[in-house]
Amino acid sequence: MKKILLIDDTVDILENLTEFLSMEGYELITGTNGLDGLEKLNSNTPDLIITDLRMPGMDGFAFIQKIKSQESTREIPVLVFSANATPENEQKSMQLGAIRFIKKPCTVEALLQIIEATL
Amino acid sequence: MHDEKKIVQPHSHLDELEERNIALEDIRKNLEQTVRDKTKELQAVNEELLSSNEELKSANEELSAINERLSEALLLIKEQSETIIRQKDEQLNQVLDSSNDVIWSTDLTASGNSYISRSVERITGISVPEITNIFSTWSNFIHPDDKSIRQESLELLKHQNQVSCSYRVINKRGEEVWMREQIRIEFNSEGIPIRQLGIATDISSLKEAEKALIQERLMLRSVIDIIPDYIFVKDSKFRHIINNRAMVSLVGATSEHETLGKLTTDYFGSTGEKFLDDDERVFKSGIALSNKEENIINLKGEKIELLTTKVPLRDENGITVGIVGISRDITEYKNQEAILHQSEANLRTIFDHTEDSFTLLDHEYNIVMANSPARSVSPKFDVGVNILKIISDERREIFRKYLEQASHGDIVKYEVEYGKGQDSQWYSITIAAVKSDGRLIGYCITTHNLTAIKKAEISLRVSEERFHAFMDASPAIAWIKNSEGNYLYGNKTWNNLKENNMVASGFMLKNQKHELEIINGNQSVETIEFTKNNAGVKQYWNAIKFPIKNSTGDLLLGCFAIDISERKKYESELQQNQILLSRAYDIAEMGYWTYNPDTNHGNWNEQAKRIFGLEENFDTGFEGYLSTVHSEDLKKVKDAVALTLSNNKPYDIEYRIIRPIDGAIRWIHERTDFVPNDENSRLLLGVVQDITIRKKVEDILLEYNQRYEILSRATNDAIWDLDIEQDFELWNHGIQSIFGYSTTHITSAKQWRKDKIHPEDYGRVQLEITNAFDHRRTNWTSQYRYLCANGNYKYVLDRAYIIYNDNKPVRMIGAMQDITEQREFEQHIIATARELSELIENANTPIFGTDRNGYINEWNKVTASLTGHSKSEVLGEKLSRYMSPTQHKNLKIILNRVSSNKPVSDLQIPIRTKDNRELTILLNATPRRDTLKNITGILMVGQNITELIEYRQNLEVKVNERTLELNEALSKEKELVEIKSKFVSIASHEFRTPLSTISIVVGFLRKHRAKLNDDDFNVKLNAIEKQVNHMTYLLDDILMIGKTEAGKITAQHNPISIKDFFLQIAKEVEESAKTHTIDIKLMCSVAEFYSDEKLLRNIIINLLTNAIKFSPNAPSVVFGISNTAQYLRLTVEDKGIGISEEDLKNIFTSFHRGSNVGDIQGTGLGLSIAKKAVDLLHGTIQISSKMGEGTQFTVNLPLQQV
Repeated sequence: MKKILLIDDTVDILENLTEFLSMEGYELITGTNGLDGLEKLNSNTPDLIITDLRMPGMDGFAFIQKIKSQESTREIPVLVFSANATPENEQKSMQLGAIRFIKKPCTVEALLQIIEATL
Repeated sequence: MHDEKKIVQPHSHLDELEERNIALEDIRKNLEQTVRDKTKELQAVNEELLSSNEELKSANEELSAINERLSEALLLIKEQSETIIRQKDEQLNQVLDSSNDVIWSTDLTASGNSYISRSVERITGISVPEITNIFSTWSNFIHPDDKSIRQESLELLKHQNQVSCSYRVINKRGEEVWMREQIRIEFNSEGIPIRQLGIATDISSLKEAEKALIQERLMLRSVIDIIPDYIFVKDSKFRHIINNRAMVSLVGATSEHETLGKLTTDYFGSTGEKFLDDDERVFKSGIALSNKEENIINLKGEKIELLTTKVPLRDENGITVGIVGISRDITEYKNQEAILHQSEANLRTIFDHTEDSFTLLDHEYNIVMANSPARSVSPKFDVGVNILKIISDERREIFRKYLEQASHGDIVKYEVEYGKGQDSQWYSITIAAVKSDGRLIGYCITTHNLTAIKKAEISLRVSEERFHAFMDASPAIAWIKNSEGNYLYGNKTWNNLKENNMVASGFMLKNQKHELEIINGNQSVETIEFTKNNAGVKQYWNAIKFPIKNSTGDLLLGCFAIDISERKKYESELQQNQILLSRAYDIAEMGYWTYNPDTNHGNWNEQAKRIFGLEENFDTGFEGYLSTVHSEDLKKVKDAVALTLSNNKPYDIEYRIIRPIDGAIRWIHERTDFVPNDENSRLLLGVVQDITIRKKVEDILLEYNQRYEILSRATNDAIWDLDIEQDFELWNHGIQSIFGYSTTHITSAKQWRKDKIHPEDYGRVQLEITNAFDHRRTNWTSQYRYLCANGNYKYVLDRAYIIYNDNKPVRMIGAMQDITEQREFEQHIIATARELSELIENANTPIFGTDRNGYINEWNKVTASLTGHSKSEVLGEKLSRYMSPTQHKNLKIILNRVSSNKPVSDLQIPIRTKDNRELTILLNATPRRDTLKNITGILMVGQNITELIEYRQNLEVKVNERTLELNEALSKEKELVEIKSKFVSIASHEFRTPLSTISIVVGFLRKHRAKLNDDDFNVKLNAIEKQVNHMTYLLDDILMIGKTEAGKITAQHNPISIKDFFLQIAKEVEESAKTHTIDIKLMCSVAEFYSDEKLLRNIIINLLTNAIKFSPNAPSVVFGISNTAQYLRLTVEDKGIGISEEDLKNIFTSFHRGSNVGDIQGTGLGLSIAKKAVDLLHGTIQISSKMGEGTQFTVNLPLQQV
């Protein structure tokens, strides 16, 4: 069972997406911001990380930078799932090491397709 | 060690050892005592034991044993004491050696032991053990020059117990070291010297200080010697012990040494005694004497004035030991003072003996001094009196003005008359300021009585006036010339003749040479001169020319000439009238001659001879007679005689003769007739009479008529002759030529005048005439309009001469000149000039002008208002004054150009205004001309282009400013756009997030619908509905923000009932939240206030819902409503999660949400909206919060509509 770390400050998204992806056969770990995510990474090694950008505390950029800078997490693929869908944010995300930038809102089918393609 | 044994420690340090020795001695004595006691015991025992040898033997043994022990004990004691002594000795040596002083001692006893401290090594470098003889060794190091000093001191020791000396020592390093050595002799109890003891101390530093002190004293001494004042110090006997150089030279000595030890009287004899008295007084009293003036006679017999200060000289104990004095030579000053006194006395003498009065005032006008003439002018002139108080009221102010004028350095001089009429007194008054060192200290007023001069002047003036009046009234000519031939004076007759060019023939000019002779010869000459009138008719004058010496000694020429032209005509009239008188006169004064034509022999009676001035050898023939006749009359006489001889007719002739006897010209009246001689012959009888005097008298009487005739014939003017009493007026042809009247005789002159003089002028003219009469003026002049025959008026200039008889005007002779043309021209010119100046003055552009020299003479209103300088201020000032100095050259060029008739145009001239701004005037300058077209100045017409220039200069600045403003606006706009786009981006994010949730849920439903039961399905639908609701709120809030930001919402104030309104809102919120209660604390002193309901709702609902939302674990929130004088205060308080400090900074920013909100829903716009609403209501909102404890919002809203 593939493990996905899902980070989003919007609880509704977090809950609904977790429910959906669980139904699709993934194991979900969640965090509400970057710091929360890093903490979860201490005890888990997911196969994929999906993160929001705008979050209180540590935002998505800082989070990606952090995981890309530490040996243990560097190889985990990162997908960015953000409502701040500007070219600048997308460019910055890719520079930091994300492999895809997914715009909110997005159909679950499309999201699922990207996850499957990545894993 | 053994060497040291022979050195005995100095006495003073041996006491301790001595004591120790005594102690040891005691021990020894005790021991001896013990020994003695034991011996006694033993003896007793011996005696007891004598009987028993055994006992004795054993006793002996015991004794020897005891003895042995005793000697052992003694040895031990000795060893111990020696050790102690040695230790003490070493200690002492260490003390001595550590001293810097060199200490030595030598026993004078036989032992000859000596000691020297180790400190000697430091100086000499020789160690103590090496020293065998301390005297010679030490002596080797003493400076060769100083060896004797020590030697002498040592010699002294033979007589005294103690000596002290200072000398130099050369130390081991070759340096000089100053030492002071004290040597004393110690005696034993019997008075015998036992020891010499010396201590030598290094005093180099002391010596250095001493040297510096001496240096200082020398410097002080030089200073004292340089001072020109006499400085001296005296001892208690008043003997001079110090004199400075000035003092030495005062007493005539060459060196100070000669002057010392002497008394002042030794220097100056008896004149010095008073100084000794002073010395004594100062010495005894201890009180200083200051600045006493005294004099002495020095050795040269000169008197010297001294200003002396003496101070008691005290030693360190305060005891007076002498006197210090300083004297200053004030002889010169005293001499000056004496001279001053003398000159003051002189001045005072002059002061009191002069006839002029002198008054000295101080600077406040009080009389300081007034001499006797001044006091005689007014007895009030007392010292101390303020002069302004004793001056009459009407003169006070002017006098004060004069004093003020004088105080500025001017000498004010004026004349003043006191009293009236005969008794009046004239004074010339001079006021001068008295200054000292440039400071005003008073005034000197000199008054000189001018009355005599004034009176003489007045009488002179009177006589002069009389002279002029007489001369001007006389028909005769009178003039005075100087030796250069220039006229100094001419009477009216003469001036008239000259003015009318009647002296064209050169009357009295051709005879200049002859005139000079008169002046030089100092003799009167009588000549016949002539003038020619305009008609060319000759007029003869009998002139007497005479030298005059004027008051300054210049020689002048005077002339008095009588017209004799018309004499004959007049005389014949007179002859008829006065024939009888004349005859009678003739008889007495007549002479006669007879002449025989046949024999050419004449006979003269005595009277005739006298009249003709004949000499004794006179040729009595016809030729002789003719030789006396004046050359100009010769022909007349010859003709008359010839006529008589041929026709036998008598003749009657007047002619001039030149008297042979004195050359005088005389007028002769001669009548001849034939008288029968005897038989056929006949004699010619001539009766002669000298008529010279009569001629002159006649001439004077005739002058008036002649003058009138001449004038009336000569002039173009209308001449009128008014007989005032007869009211008859006679005119010359002028009345015809000028006015067109044919009559020349006006019988009713008064009425005529009234008719003819313009009614507007008549009154004035009459008044002027009456005025002239009243003042007995002989001349009258007026201008008025006179009616012509054709009905027009002509302007005339009328000048008349008035003749008085017994102070009563009897006749007026006048000449009227037609000045109509001139007058009209003048009026035309005046009108034009007035128009022009009006034009200039009121022109709407600056016009100003200067004369050729640049002095302003035109300055119109616009110029005045532009520059701020009024016309009256600038007239007569240089134009350059109102221009910056850099422009003066340009102005000069303009003036020169225009003055040479080259107009200048379009010049830019800067003019300085009164408030020191600079105006730029665009000028056209043209020459200004007088009526004769001469250039008299320049006229400048300008245009104020200052603003234009400034505009030009400022344009760039303005463009820059505008650009800057535009840039600012642009950047503001950019900022706005940025804010907007940021807002849009954030807003889109906020929409995308719920949309994202919806999308996920919808995706979920679509995919897993089949697996869901109804409840799960509803949960999903609710989730969607929640997102939709959130988006709806979000949209409402964003629209609200958008509206307020676009300014679309304005506050609509209405009265609001506080209680009802807020309770209602609170209730709504409570019901909608359902989770909390709202505690309302209403403490309001007002019931109603003005505000906008909608905005208020926005504020309160947002705050209350926030408070509820963010305090999920609290049961209630608190809503407070209170007020101050000006504000309604609303507080919303919760016990919620609180807001971090970081978040507080941006709490009112749109979409900003606290970092700790967790899953609490919100748009991040509520507070932003609340803040905007508060702003619209002109209120304030404050927030205080603590994380985890709660938050309080305070809103203050004005009670009254702003």
